[in-house]
Amino acid sequence: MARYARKELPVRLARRVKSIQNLPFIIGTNPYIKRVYRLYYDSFQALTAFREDIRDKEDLDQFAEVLRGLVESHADVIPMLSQGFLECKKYMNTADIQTFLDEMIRSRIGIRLIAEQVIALRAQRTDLLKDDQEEESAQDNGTTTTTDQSNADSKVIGVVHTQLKPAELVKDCASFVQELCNVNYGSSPDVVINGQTDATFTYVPVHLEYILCELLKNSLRATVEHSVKIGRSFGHPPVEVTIAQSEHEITIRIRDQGGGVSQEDLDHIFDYSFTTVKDDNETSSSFSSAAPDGSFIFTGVSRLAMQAGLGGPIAGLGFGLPLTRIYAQYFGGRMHLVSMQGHGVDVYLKLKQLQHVEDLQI
Amino acid sequence: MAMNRLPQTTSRCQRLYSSASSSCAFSLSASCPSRATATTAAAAARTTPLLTSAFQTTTRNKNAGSALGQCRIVTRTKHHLAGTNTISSASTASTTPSAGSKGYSSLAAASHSHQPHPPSITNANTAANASRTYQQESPQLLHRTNQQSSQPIHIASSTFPSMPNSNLNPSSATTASAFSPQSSPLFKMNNPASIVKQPQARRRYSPQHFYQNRILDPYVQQAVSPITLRQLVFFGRNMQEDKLLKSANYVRTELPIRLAHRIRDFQNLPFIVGTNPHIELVYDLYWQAFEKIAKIPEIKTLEENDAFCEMVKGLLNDHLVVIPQLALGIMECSKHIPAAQVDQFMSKMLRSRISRRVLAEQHITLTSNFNSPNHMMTDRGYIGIIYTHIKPRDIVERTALLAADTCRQASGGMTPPKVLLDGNIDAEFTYIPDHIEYILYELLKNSMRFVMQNGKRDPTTGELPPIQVTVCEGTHEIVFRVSDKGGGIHPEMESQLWSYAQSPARFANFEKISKMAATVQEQVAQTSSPSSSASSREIDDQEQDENIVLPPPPAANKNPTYQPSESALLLDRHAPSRNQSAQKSSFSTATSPQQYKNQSLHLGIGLPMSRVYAEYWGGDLKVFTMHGYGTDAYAKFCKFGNIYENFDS
Repeated sequence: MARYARKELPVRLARRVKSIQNLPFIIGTNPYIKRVYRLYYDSFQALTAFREDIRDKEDLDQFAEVLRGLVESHADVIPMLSQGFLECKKYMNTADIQTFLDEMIRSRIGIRLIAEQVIALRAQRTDLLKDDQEEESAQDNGTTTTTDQSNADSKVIGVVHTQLKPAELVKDCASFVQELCNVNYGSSPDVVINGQTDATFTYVPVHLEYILCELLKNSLRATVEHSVKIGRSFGHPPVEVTIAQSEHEITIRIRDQGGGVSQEDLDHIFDYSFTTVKDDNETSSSFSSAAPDGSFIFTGVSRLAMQAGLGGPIAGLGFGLPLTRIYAQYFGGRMHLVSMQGHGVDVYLKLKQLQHVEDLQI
Repeated sequence: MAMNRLPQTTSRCQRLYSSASSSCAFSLSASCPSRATATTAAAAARTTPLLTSAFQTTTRNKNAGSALGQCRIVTRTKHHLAGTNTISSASTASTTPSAGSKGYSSLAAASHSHQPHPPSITNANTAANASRTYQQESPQLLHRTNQQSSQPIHIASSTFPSMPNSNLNPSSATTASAFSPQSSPLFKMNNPASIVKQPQARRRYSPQHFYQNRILDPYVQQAVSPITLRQLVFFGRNMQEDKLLKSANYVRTELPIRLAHRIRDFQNLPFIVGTNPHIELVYDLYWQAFEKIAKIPEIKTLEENDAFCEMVKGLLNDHLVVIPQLALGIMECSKHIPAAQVDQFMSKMLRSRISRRVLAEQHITLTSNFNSPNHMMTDRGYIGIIYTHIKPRDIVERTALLAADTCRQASGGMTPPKVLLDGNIDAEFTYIPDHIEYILYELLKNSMRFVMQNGKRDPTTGELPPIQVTVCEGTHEIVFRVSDKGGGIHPEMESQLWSYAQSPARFANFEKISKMAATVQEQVAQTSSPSSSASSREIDDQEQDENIVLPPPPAANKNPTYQPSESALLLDRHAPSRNQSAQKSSFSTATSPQQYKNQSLHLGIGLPMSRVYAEYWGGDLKVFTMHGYGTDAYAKFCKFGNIYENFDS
C-alpha cells in the first residue's frame, strides 16, 4: 500500500498543482490561492524526495510520518480556498469556479483517502505488532493478517470499516450536533432514528460522519429557526432519520420540518456560494451563504469544535452541501434533496455498499 | 390480418355514409388533388355538418341490426348518390324555415324515409373504385352544394348519446341526454363485429391525403395560445351569454390548432410506426376531429353553442380510446423508434390531450351550468371544472377511500393499509379537483399495492404499516407527500418508472381495456355498484371510516405531540360530495365488467400520466425510493394559478 501511495500521490498532487497553475493569473496572485498552491507544490516535492522503494518497517514509518505531516498541513485548504474565491469572485465565471472546486475537492478526498489509509494501516499494524510481538507481514495491500486478530481489529481496514452501522454513526453525530445547537440556540430538536437500524455495511466512516453531521446540522438549525419564525410553542418537531438496506445500497433519509427551502434558493444550495451572508433572520437560505465575517452561526468556539472534532477540517462556510454531495458521490452514491416549502426538507442519501462493489476507483 | 378495431368506426361509417350525399362528395373531392383547396372546404363546410348529422340521426335511430349493417362500408354508385342527393335537397328545403332542433328531427324523419337500403360490405378494392367514382361525381355535386343555401349548424341534441367518462362538474348531471343503445360505448365494446377495417383508413395512405394535408398548414403555423388557471377562473365567474359565446369561439379556434400540432407530430413519426393499426386509428380520430371542428363557423347564438357542445362531447367520447390505443401502438412499435423519442412523443400527446380536454370540458360545463338552474354552483366555488375551495383534507379522504376500495377488490378482500393524514390539511386552494384526484389516486393505489405485497405487519396488532400523507403549504405551492413502507422500488424498475417505452410488457394489459378516460370518475363508477344511490355510498363511507385517520380539527392541533392523532374522524357529510353526483352524472360510465377491470390491471401508465397532470400548470411529481424500506412521492401544485399551460407545440 505504501508503495502504491508513494507512486500515486505525487501524480495526483502534480495534477492539482497544474490545475491551479491554469487558473487566471489574477486569481493566482490572491494570497489564499497562492498559499494553497505553495502547499501543494511543497507536498509534491516532499513526496518525490522520499525514496522510491519502501523496503522495511523503518521506511514505512518514515513515509507514514511524511504523509501525516502532509495531511496536517493541508487541513485548512478548504477554508483557504473558500476565502480566496470569495475575494476573486468577480474575476472568474461561476460555472468555472464550480468546476474547478469540484475537481479540487474530489481529488483532495482521494489524496487524503490514500494518505490516511497508509497512516491508519501502519498504526493498526503497529498496534498489532505491539500486541502480538509478531513480525510485520510483507503484504502491501493492507489486508489484515488472519491469525490472532481481535474481533474489533478485523472489522477495520485502515480507514475502511467493514461492519459499519449507520444507526450508531447517526446517533453519535446527532448528539454532537445537538450539543452545538443547544450552545447556539438554547434548545434543539430530537433526532429519531428508525427503519432498519441494525443495517451494517462497508464504508469509510469518516466520509459518512462528515455527511451526516452536515445534513443534521442543516436540519437541526432549520428546525429551530423555523420554530422561532412560526412561533411553535410546544417544542421542536423531531428530525427523523430512516435507514434502509437493500442488496447493493444503503439509503438514509433525513426528514425535517424546518420550513423547507424556497424556490429561488433551491437552485443555489449546491453552489459554492460566495454571496454575502444574509441576515440571521433569514432561515433556510442562511446555510447556503458563505462569508466568514463573524455573524455566521458557527463562529468562534463552535467552529473550532467543528474543525477539530471531526475527521478533517470542514468548511462550515457555505461549502457544506456541495461538499456533502461530493462525498456522497465519491464511491458512486447519490444525494437528492426535496424541499416542501413551508414544511420541511427530505434528504435522500444513497450509498453503495462497498463490499459489493467490484471495481472501486478512488 | 384481423385488426381489433374499436368502435370509433361508427362515426366513420356515418361519415362514409353521409359521403353518399353532397357533403361527402365535397370531402372526397377535397381529397382529389385538383380540388384540395381551403375555399371549397369552407364552402361546403356549412352543408357538411347538416348532412352528417342527418345520417347520424338515421343510423342511431335504427335498430341494432341495421346499425351494424350501416357500419359497413358503402359502395358508391351513381344512383345511390343521386338518391341521397334528393334527400339532401329535400331535407334542406324542409328545414330552412325552422332553424331549430325540431327542424332537424323532421330532417331526420325525411332522410329516414328516403333511406336506400344499406349497401353491402366493401373491401379495399371498392375503396379504390369509390374514390374514382367520387371524383367523377364531384363536379356535379359541388355545383349542387354551392347552390344550397348555407344552413346554421344545428345538431339535434337528442340524437347524441350521453357522454361517459368525463371530468364533469356534478351540475352537468342534470343535462341528461337521450341514450341510444347502438352508439353507446358499451355496445361498441361488446360488439366487435361493428368494428371493421375501414377504407377511410386506407385513405390516409393515399396520395389524396398527402395533398389534403395542406388544410393542416395554416393551423400548424398558428401558435397555440396557452391559458392560465387564473384566467379560466376569472373568465368563468359571472357567466353571461356573450362571455359564453366568447368561450365557445375560443374553444372552437383553439382546439383545431392544438389538434393540428399533434397531427403534425403523428406525421413526423417514422412511416412504419404510422402504419401500425393502433397508431393509425388514433391518427384518424384526430383527423376527423380536426376536420369537424375546423369547419364550424363562428358561433353566434346560444343554440349554436349548444350544438357545438354536443359535438365536442361526442368527440370527447369518441376519443376515449386514445390512451389505450396509443399505448398499444407504442408497445408494438417499440423496436422501430428509440426510447427517448417515444417518451417525448407520448408526453407531448398526453399533455396536449389534457389541454384540449380541459378546454373542452370547461366550456361544456360552463354551458351546462349556464343553461341549468345551477348558477349557484359558481357561487359555491365551482367554476366549470375548477373548484376554488379545494381542501386537501377532503380530497385526500376521497381518493384514499377509492384507492382502498380498489385494492380491497383487487386483492380479493384483503384489508388495505390505513392512510394517515397530517400537515396543513385545511389549506384551501384553487385547482381542477379531477387532476389532483387522479394523481393522488394513482399514488395511493401504488402505495397500497406495495404495502399489501411487501409490508411487514405489526407484530402486536397484525396491521399493515400505514401510509402517511402530508400536506405542505408553501407561499407558492401545495405539496402532497405520500410516504409508504412498501419495500421500495427495485433499482431496475426505478429507471423505467417514467418511461412509456422501456417496459413494453406493461402495456400489454391495455389490450384488455378498450376505453380509458384517465379520470377518477371512471373508478368511482366502477367501485360502487350500478344501482348505488347516495345513501348506500354513505354507508360504504361509514364502513371505511377506519381506513382514513385524520388528526382532530384545527383547534385541537396545538397539542404537544406531533404524532397524528389516531382517532378516526367521521367524514364531513356536509361538504359537497362530488362522488355522489358523479355517479348520476351523464358523464359517468355505464358500469361494465370491462371497465371495472381497468383499474385492477397494472397498466404501467399511472405514474407518467400523473406526472403529465402534475406538470400541466407548473407543478411536478417526484418519486424517491428507499429500496428495502419504502417509497415517497411528492406531488406539487402551484397555488396561484398564474402559470401557463405546459405543453410543447
